[in-house]
Amino acid sequence: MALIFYIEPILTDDLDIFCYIPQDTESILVNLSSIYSYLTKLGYESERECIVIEGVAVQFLVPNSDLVVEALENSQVIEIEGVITRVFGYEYLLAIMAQTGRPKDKAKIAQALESREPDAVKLKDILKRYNLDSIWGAIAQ
Amino acid sequence: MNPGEEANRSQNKDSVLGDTLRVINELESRGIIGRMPLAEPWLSFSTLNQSLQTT
Repeated sequence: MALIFYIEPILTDDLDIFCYIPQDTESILVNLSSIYSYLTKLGYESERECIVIEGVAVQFLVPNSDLVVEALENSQVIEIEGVITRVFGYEYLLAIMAQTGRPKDKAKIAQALESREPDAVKLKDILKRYNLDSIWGAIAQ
Repeated sequence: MNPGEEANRSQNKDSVLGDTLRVINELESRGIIGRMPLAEPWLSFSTLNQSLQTT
């Protein structure tokens, strides 16, 4: 059965955008005001931790681990509806969900693996370098 | 849900996403944000798979 059929009940319907956000100061707090200022001028409204852009709740996140930084640097360029964008590589995405380790991430890993086999060599390399082997072993059992 | 309904739903998400992504790309082109990979599993596992397979 299609993966999306299983995934849909646990979707939050928001879109996570990992990005670097230029900061004016050395503050450790991430300042999203430039994003919100620009988007609210265009008429988009915030909703909890997201801002709704063309009907999709978008959350802007900065890289919060070395793994995410590496995934970001190795993201893949794709085209959706004529728009060029980037996505995390599949193996990186699996590793990030393993590292995050929330129950819903573990569930998504299981669903993903049912849908598509990752590149075993690439995934093993990432898991080993970020000490996620044992975590992955427990999840993938 | 039958396969036709799944396909329609996926297509609708893509249509909405296109408009959303154009706005986000504008944020990047204006230097408000840096690189911006998406991290949504449903996007990666459905649309991405489809895109990678057709390119």
